[in-house]
Amino acid sequence: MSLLELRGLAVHYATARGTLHAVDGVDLDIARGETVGLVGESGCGKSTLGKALLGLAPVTAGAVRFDGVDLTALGARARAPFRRRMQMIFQDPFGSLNPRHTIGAILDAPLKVHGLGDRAARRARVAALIAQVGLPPDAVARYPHEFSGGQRQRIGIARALALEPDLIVCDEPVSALDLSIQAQILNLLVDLKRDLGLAYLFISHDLGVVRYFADRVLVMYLGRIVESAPAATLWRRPMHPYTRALIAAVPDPARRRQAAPLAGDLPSPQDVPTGCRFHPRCPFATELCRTTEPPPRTLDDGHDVACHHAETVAGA
Amino acid sequence: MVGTEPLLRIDGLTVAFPGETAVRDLSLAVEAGQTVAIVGESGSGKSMTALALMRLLPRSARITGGSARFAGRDLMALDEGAMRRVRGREIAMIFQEPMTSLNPVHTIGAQVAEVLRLHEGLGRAAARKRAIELLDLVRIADPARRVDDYPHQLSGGMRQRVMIAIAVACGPKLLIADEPTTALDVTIQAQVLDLLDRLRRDLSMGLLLITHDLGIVGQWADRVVVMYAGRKVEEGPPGALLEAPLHPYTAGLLGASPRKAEGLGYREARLAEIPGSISSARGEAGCAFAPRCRHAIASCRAAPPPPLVAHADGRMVACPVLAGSGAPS
Ligand SMILES: Nc1ncnc2c1ncn2[C@@H]1O[C@H](COP(=O)(O)OP(=O)(O)OP(=O)(O)O)[C@@H](O)[C@H]1O
Ligand SMILES: Nc1ncnc2c1ncn2[C@@H]1O[C@H](COP(=O)(O)OP(=O)(O)OP(=O)(O)O)[C@@H](O)[C@H]1O
Ligand code: SF4
Ligand SMILES: [Mg+2]
Ligand SMILES: [Mg+2]
Repeated sequence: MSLLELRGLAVHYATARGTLHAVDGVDLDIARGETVGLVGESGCGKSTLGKALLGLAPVTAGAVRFDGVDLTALGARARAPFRRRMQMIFQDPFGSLNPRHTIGAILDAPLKVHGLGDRAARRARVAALIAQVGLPPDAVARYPHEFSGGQRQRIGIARALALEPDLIVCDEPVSALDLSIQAQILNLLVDLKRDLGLAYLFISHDLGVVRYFADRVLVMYLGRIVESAPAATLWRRPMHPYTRALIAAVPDPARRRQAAPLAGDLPSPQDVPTGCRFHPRCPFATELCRTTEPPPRTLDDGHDVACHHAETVAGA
Repeated sequence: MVGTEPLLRIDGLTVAFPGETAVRDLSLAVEAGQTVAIVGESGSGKSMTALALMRLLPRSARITGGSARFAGRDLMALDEGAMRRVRGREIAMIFQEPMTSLNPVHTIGAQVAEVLRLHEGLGRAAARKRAIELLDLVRIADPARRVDDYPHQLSGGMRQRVMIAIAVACGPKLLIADEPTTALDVTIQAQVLDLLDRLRRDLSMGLLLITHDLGIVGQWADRVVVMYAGRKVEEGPPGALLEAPLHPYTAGLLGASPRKAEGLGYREARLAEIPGSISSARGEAGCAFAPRCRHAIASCRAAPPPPLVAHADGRMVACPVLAGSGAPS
């Protein structure tokens, strides 16, 4: 059984201009100790998906099963024991740290709430967490605004680790960090995964990092998963046109001052295109794509894609 | 470049907090129409350099030395009134944290329009129309509708693009962009960088680009400055610098990239870390990187820190150990 199973997950927001389909029917499995990478266009619903797992975004439809229990069916009380086992590293580290609390207090709070250890034990744990994410020991008495962007991100990581969860939703955890700290953090996450069997949902715009760090990668477009495959497979043989556009847009010194290959009007989640939602921007689109939504198909072992012409795309 | 002043020349800039010096004796220049990238360790003073130029440092910070000449004036010496006229109009900045720099109680359209009304003197209707055009320029889908959204209704990347729209609204001569595309997916990132590059070319705008992404540096920058613990430790054209770094810190930074894993995953290859942390730089009299450097010799730790020395092909490096013997391995 998977640690986490999503079935038909949808998050819709009612706005003044009608319904916004932020997440629009997502199936997803994460096994214990597995890292699932989630990539996709800015605004396609990645953070919303991550928040929905933790009960931080309203689930409109579908199931979120953690260890076989559907969390969407539970009230706040019944949900509480699961809260400790799932944590999130937020995309916006500053917005999620209380500016009036010291780093020590921020890290102590979850330990205290869950009654973990006496004062001395908690203090030792806080010091260990600070060291683990590579902050100086005196950070404990300082406030969030005294740290650089990357340092704040590490405070957010330490807080997520504090309760030794089973699953961490990592929303752009290393994008604010320089490469050397990024390497330290990624190595740390790898060690925790190996030692504690941690699983990650790893949201990132950095395809190089996802390729290195994820076991399996999901590609999301406008609220839906359009392709899913083991990391190595996805880069060897991307089968969805959007995945190909993503991989082609990775910054590359070899393309001095040359722009993006993917153009076209950006779609709006309030006004989802008919048929395949990628068709207005897709170089492979045919009449079929304009009228009929492509169902997800399993093409190779563990390689799923939602595109009518995936075979053609893979061969192109 | 005898006789021609660059658009911006920073000379010996030093920024200090009580008990901590964030930027030390920093010098660099940006020509009109040039893109200069700053890379470096998290906490090395990149954002404080940018905020010093805008004169928007946190209250506890002091500019304790140096100058920044921009279009014939020293930005460090301007009074607040004069600085307000420069800010947003001649020099604009895209901040690192878009959520904290957008006002949550105003619509994004109102915030873009405000800049236009303030600096360009546009009326209400004209400013709104231009705001929609700017949102379209930064590729916000459906700008005529989105213009009335509040910041919390947008994704992280969309907020970042709103910040970019505000920054470029008045066609600044110098744009300081602090991690402008970190929150964006690579396809939109490419479009935004292309947009900034077009502005650079068309308006002869200088672009000071702070980024952690060496792929971006290689693709878009004309020069790159590497910072460590508040100091510039290396500078040069990106091709040569990324190909063969001279400073051990730069070499360590490049070595830590997942790109180096060349398609291998975490099971096959561990990322190369630089041992220790930047906090070891505190109190060092000599080279701030010495406590973490495997090439360090006794003299590295003696005051004063090694000076920047010019090398062939417009390169500079502050490391006497390796500068003479070629690239560190
Ligand atoms: N509270 C909200 N009310 C209304 N719409 C929202 C809300 N939160 C998010 N949205 C919308 O839902 C969509 C998905 O947003 P989300 O933050 O999940 O995107 P994302 O994939 O994480 O993007 P990014 O990569 O830019 O962070 C966007 O169109 C956004 O505007
Ligand atoms: N308000 C403050 N009070 C005290 N020290 C501060 C304050 N703000 C920043 N600093 C310190 O100044 C130094 C430089 O910070 P800066 O924000 O310029 O780093 P940066 O190079 O932009 O890092 P990053 O890549 O993580 O954004 C850091 O060591 C930080 O701890
Ligand atoms: S289904 Fe058609 S429009 Fe959609 S991605 Fe495939 S080829 Fe393109
Ligand atoms: Mg997000
Ligand atoms: Mg910064």
